[in-house]
Amino acid sequence: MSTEVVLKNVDNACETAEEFTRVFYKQVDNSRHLTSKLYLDTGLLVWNGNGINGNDKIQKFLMDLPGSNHVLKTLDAQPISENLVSNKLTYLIQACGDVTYQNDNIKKPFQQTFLIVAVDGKWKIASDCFRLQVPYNS
Amino acid sequence: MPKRGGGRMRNWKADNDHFEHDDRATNPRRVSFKPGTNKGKNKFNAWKNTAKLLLDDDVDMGASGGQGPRKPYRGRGGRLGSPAPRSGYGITKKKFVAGMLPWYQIIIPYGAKHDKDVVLRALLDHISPEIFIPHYYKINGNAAVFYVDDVKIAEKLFHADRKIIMSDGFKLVVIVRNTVPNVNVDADMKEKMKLVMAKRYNAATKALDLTKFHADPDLSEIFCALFRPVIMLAAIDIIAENIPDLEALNLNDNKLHGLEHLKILSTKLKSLKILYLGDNRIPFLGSLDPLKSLPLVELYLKGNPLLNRFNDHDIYISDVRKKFPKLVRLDGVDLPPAIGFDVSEDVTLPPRQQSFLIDPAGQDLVREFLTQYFAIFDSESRQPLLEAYHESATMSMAANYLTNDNRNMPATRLNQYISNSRNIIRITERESRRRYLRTGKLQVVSFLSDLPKTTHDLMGFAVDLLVFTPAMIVLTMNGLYKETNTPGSPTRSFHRTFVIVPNSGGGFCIINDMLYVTNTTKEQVSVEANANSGGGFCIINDMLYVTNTTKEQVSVEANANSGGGFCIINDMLYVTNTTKEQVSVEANANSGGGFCIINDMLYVTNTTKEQVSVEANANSGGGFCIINDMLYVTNTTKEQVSVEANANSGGGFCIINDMLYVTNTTKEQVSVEANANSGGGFCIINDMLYVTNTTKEQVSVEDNANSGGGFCIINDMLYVTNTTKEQEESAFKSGMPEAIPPTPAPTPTPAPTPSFSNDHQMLLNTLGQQTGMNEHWSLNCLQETGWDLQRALFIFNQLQSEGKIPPEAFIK
Repeated sequence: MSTEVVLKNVDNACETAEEFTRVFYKQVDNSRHLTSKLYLDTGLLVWNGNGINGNDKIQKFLMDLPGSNHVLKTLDAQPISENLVSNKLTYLIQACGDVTYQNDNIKKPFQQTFLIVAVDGKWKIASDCFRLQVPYNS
Repeated sequence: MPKRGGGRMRNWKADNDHFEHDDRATNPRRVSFKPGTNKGKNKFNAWKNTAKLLLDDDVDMGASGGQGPRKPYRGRGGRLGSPAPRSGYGITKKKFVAGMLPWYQIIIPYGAKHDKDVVLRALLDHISPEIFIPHYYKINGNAAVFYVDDVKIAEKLFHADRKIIMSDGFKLVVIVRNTVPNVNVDADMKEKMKLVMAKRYNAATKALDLTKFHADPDLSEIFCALFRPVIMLAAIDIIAENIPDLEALNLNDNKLHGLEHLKILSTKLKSLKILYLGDNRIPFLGSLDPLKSLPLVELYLKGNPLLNRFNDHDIYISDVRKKFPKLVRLDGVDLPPAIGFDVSEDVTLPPRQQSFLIDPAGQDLVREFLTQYFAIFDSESRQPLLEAYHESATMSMAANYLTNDNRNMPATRLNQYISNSRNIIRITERESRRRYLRTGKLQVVSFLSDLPKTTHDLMGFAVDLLVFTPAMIVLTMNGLYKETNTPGSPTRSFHRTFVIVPNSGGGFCIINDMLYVTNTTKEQVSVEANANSGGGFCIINDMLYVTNTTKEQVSVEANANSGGGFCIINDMLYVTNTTKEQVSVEANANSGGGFCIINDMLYVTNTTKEQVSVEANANSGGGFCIINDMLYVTNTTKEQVSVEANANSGGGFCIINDMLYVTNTTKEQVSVEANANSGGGFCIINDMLYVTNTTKEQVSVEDNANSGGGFCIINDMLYVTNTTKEQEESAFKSGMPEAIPPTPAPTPTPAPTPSFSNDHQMLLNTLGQQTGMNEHWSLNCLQETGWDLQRALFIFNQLQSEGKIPPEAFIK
């Protein structure tokens, strides 16, 4: 890959991350029943260490979470070398901000990392790792 | 009287003028309160009086008019001569005015002349068919005093004044005052309340019936009215202590008015669902606001004035429901089911897990990789990380502050990160986005090398292994690290993702590295200081100020490996111009030991090596405590000061107020050791040590208690300076003289007695040198002074100045 192509890919990763997070958090906060469509059928959600495999189970897991409101504050994205991922365009996206759940209405800092992959002209989540910023060494 | 009384006085005077013109003959007693003359005004006056009364129990209540003590009036000069009659006896038309308090005190002057039964029977007969329960009947001087809790009865009794002719021919005088009995809630009263409550508790339904509590026959001796906040709060405390899971509480008919103090119900009685407040005096619906946080399903409010404020019952129900949305029953009637919103508000978040592994097979590899990586990352040089990155690796870091973080301390500033942060929400320029993405392992490692030096808490990592295939590993970490070289050693929270691929050499390397850095939350910080098993410790107010240091200079470690607990409070450490491992405050409790340092102040300047070490070890079961340790050290060069406190097994010790001031010393100068090897305990209190210009191992204060012994030094002060020549000559040359048989008489033989010990010989020589006397005379002198050289010298000087020493004494 020429340097120019690599750099364009970097630009594209950033722009895709912006668009993706806009869509993703809108769905999770407002139309959660549609959120699982954003995942691959074999997608993986790791929510605070709880692993959920597969689109259907992810949908059910998400529906059981209290209503939420995410506010994104920090975003970063990198392209993943294509020869690692069967030549599919893949981006690594890191999204950080605050989330408020309806059960307690307390703003909590969260960090979330996505691997998204382009499949048939759509961006799909291959893996989604969500962590609240809480003590883990207790 | 407070000044406000003056205003009242003027009113009263005006009223008085008024009655003088219009009313005097018919009803002079009206002057005080003017019942009937002006309804509105009357109300106002009554309110004013009662309001005052709430402030001062002693103020005479309005209702009794001129009968009672006239304190308000007497308080002002001149009022005694007022036209207001001093007594209203014989005036027939009296008007009873209800007071604000629910209780009335009935005073029967000279009631003591009659039996309680006689008085009560007379009153009961008079007001028949009404009946009443006299509360807290007692004799006070000549008067009989009791209380009634019914305004109707109070009014009847008020009108019974001087109506009843007793057997002795006197009319029974009845004074009615709107006042409550004073009561102190003491342990005895609480115990009585508890017994009554136990009687009224239904364990099956978890219901407590406190209806008309004060009227309980078992409480007839004491005034136990729940409308008094102090008594209600005592009752709630008793409930919370004995039936914390109470579900239903009946407070009907307790003359409750304000409910502000019931706010604590929601914290004290978390299971309370049913509350009866009927037949009380709750004036407004808003008065129930303190109860809003109770998840009530049933509420009873009938018989309260607040209901009169609603013309429409539906509005009443709807307003109550707004305050208690979970209510299904109000005033004994089931409510139509409310139409709410299914917002699943009770849903809780799933519990968090420490780690997720997509493939358990990856665990060891991940652990090994991270251990190696962070060992290098946390070391002096991050250059070796070049091996850990792929040739074309990319790395980016983003940083941000926590939302609503009010901490604005140097330690919470993230400037070093923010200036390199690739937060693409802020970095919108394409060029910048490209630039902030470090590409190629050289760029990556050079960037990492510029980040602050760190120590990662690997044990506290939350690691999620997301992808684990032969071609690619993706893992994320959440955790904390400490910046070791930043003033204040701040702890940061991070989230980091590695994409790892196999390298050509059979190992692995990182191809994508994405890091997010932020400050720690309060929660994170409080858990960060933790013990590995069952132990707990606590650092409060640790202030550390360090300048110009170069290497691991200050380390404050607090480890509690098993079951140990310790605590550092108010640790102040001030270090300047040091170069290496200078200050280490270690507190280890290896097993079951506990210790505590309170107010440790350490001030160190211009030192070069391992200068100050304050160690406190409690190896097994030992406990110790340092309180107010002040250490001030200047210009020292090597291992100068070491304050060690070891309790090897079961020993305990304690240093209180240790002040150590050391200047210009060169080597191992001061060591304060306190060892308790087994079961020993000791204690140093107020140890002050001041040392100057010493050269070698000068001062050592050792306290050893080898087995089971205990000792204690109190108020030890030591001052050390250079020795004089004489001291050097005389010191350490001889020990204490041994008890030897003294040579009886001086003999002319000049040879020294061979039986002299070396010590004595030395004394003899010294005395001889210093006085010039011959051995015989010197021996004589020493023997007479019990081999005390100082005394011998003193006596020699004295005798010589008096010329009493013969010249032959100097002939050798």
